Amino acid sequence: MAKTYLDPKILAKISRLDLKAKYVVEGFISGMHKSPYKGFSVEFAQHRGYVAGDDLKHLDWRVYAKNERLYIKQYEAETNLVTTILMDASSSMAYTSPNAKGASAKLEYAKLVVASLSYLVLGQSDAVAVGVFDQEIKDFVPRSTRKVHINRICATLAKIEPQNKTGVGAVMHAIAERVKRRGIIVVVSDLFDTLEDVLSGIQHLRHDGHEVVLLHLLDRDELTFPFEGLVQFKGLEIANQVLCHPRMVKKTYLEELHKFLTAVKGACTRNGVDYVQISTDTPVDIALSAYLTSRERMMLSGGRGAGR
Amino acid sequence: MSFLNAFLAGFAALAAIPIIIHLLNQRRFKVVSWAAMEFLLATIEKNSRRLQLRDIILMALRAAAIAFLALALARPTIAPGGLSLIGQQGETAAVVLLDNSLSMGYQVGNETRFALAKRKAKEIIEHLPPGSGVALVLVSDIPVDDIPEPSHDIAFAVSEVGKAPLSDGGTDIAGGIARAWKILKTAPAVSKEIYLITDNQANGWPSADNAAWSKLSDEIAAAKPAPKLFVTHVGDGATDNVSVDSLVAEDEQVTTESDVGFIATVHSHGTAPAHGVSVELQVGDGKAGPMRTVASQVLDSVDGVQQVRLETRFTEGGDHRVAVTTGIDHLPADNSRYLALSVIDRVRVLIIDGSPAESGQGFGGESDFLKAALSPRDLDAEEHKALIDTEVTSLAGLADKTLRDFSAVILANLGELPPGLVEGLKTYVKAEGHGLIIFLGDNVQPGRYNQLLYDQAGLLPGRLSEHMIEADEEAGAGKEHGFGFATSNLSHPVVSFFADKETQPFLAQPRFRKAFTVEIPAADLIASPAAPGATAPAPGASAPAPAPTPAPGTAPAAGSGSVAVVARFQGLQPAIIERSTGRGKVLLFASSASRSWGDFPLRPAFLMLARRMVAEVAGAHQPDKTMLVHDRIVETFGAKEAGAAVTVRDPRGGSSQITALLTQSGELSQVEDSDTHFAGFYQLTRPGAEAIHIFAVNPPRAESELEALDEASLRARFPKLDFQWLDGHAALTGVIDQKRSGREIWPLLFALTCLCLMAESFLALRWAPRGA
Repeated sequence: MAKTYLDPKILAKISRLDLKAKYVVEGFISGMHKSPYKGFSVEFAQHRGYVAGDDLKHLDWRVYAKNERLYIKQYEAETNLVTTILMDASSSMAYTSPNAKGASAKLEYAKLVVASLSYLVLGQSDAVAVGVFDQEIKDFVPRSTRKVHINRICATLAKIEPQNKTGVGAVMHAIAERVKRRGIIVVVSDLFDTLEDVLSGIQHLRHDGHEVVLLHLLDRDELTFPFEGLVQFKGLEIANQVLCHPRMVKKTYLEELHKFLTAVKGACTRNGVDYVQISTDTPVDIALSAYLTSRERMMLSGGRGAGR
Repeated sequence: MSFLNAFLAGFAALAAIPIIIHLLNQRRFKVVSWAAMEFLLATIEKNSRRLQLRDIILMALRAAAIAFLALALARPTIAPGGLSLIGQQGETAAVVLLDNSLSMGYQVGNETRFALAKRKAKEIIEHLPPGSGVALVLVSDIPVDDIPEPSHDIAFAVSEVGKAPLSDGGTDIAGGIARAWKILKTAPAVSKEIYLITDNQANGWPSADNAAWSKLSDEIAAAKPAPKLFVTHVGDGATDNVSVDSLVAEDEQVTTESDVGFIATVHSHGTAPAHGVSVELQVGDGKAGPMRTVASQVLDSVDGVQQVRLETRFTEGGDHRVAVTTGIDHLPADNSRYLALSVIDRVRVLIIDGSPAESGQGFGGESDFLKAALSPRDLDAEEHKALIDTEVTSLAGLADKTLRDFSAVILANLGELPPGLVEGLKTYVKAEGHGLIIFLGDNVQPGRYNQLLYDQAGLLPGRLSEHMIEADEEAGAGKEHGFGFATSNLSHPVVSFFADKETQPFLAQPRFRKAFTVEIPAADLIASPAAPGATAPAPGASAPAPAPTPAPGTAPAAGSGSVAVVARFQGLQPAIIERSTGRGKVLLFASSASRSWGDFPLRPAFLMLARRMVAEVAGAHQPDKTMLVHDRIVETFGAKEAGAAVTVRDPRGGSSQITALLTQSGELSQVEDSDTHFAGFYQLTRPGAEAIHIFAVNPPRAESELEALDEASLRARFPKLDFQWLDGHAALTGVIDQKRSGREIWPLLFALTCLCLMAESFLALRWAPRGA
């Protein structure tokens, strides 16, 4: 298991989402001894000349090595990219593993991810908007750069209860219509929607120039299907129930899931979408830091970004 | 289906356990609210039917294994007919052995044992399970197949039981059971049953140490399935019975010349003597007319065996029926004894004299002595009718004679043997069944006789040797001249008259000066009178040549030849030799009827021997006509009668036809009949022929002994014999049902249990989900 920067016991004791988010972000920042990058929604835009007082950590040492000239990297943040975070609050996000003690529903995990990301973005003085959806956008917190915006976001998130089916594809289409300005769209969802609809939404957003990040949230049970004995599965979104011996269907289920995940990942790769599969048994800080670190590496090496 | 451990069959209900467990498990499950339902539904859609089927198969195998095990422990049996639902027919093969021996005719009240046995047989047959096959065998001293293979036609079987006749034969239960086993051995049936319905006569069962019976009963017991034996006892415990055990004529040769005595043996069986037993002697002629009582006696008390003598005189020659009968008792079939008798009336004898001139000169030739001995009274005197009517001729006068007009021909010192005479004698003896007597003498040329009468015609009993038996010329004082007859082993009918000590000296009287040595091949002999006890050669007689011994390397084939030595000389050389050839007989006298060879013709023995020899050959063509039930009747005819239909009438009025078949030699034809089931007189007739051939058939004596075995005795005698005793005087069906159990099928069920368990283990392992 990846090393967590946070003490899960402490995290569990914090009930306020905003505090949790703060704890998470500052935790992995301090643990990593540096900020993963300059703001979540930051990407390299251009160089400018060094002036006294600039933070040396933005110095482009390569250029200096080449030219012995001091240049500061200028990032998109400075160009005020807006990060819109969409959180799936459909019924399927209510799944809580019956096997793991103290496990939280996927939604709770998603809320912490959204709050943490919002905290990180606001900490970088970037604008962040948060939308909550199921079949459609249920609630939307418009963008703001103010640090107290996190309170509104967390308040909105806190009162969200999972309901209805997942309509990720339709929501992405709706966001594409809503958010005209190019930015970063982060979708936190279990993607239990029709694959074609999801891909269609992604393509719409990409077509509009957005950078799309897909945080595919799945519970460990959904990934491993560890059930024993006779189990009656009741659908959270679909009004179906199935009584079966899980061991008898495990292999086929995992094959079906793998097929789906492979299709999603492949589609994301083809469409230049950052795809991150997160298991809910992974500590949030580890999950986010891992992603953000890889994203920074990509950016610093001239990786893909919005508009590229 | 029935169960031998029925209470264990209830455990088959435990087969419901896997089902109950399955159902309970269906109720015990965790509930999980599941988000990734689409994937699960897709999975279920792919696997549901397969998974359901697997569940059902495994559950069924587990339930079946428990059920089969429980049923196997309960030891179920399939009752005969119980598998008819699944198409298996003929489950039980049964053989009914119906004892129809003489003793079954014992009557108590209004019903004989046999009638009771038939009633029980019908009851048993009608109670057989549906689809059964039944065979019917009538058991006496031979088993007779009435229905030789199991028949499913029950009505037909019942009908055959009704028609089954009571025989007069003995009892051989082992033979019946062997026959039943032979039928059942190859019968395809789940269950096999033998029903023996009998009065269980003790002498009808084999002895305890009978090897053949032990082997049979072991074979039956080891069979899979072993047939069940049901012994149905229809006896009544009665042992009192009066029977006539035997009937013989005092004289082997019965003639019209004198009275003849008959000795009947009356036997009172049982514990108490029989009183007031009437014994009647009945005779009938050779036709089919009624018998008449000619003599009778009443015995005041018969305790055990008692002989009775009854006398009569026959006035006509030919075949006669003779019977002795006692009064009616509970078992009438053994109250009579029968005898088929040939009575000799006038016998015409032709003497061919080889020395007619000598005969004409007073009384001295062979033919003179022979005629005097055979026909002692004047032929022309009406009031003196001789039994034997003789004519004398020479070879020259033979042309005027027809041989078949005579019952016997005597060759007296014949020197010449014309070919016509030899051929004529061959037909006369062999084909027509008449008799030939040969007296030798000075005219006889051994070589001619051997060539013509032995080699060519096959009439002479032995070859005449050139070496003669001669007595010494000189005799010492007080010693008799010549040699005589041996006076031991006088069993042959010709010489049996001299077996008595009063008459034996007459045989010792004649003195012979010479005789021919007759060489008889050992293989031709029927029996040879033994040497021990033979008298020493007479003083003055030279040591006679020893009797011919068998050739080295050969042994006398007792019973296989046709030649018998009737009498011997003191030196044991054959004196009178008999040969049965074709239908007739030849008697050879090794010496002469002339005084020139000794004083034999002057002795009284000559008279008796001559008459006896004539009587012996004159009745030669008559076969043995008194026999036991199930013995074979054999009658011979001439070759030209081959193909003729001979009608056989049995004592109960039934008749059948048998065709006369040519014998292997081609000289004769013959009929044989083994269907002699009844005691009494059988009559054989041919179309166009007047003669009626009479045969007397008697029941076996042992059948009159009614002592029976009860169940305990039977089990004591045969401890290893597995049988069920049924009381024939009570209802049988209930007892049979109790004892009749079907075939056990627990091995099959146990095998099915193992099969189900193995299949369940294999499939469960194969279908177990692997770690993904």
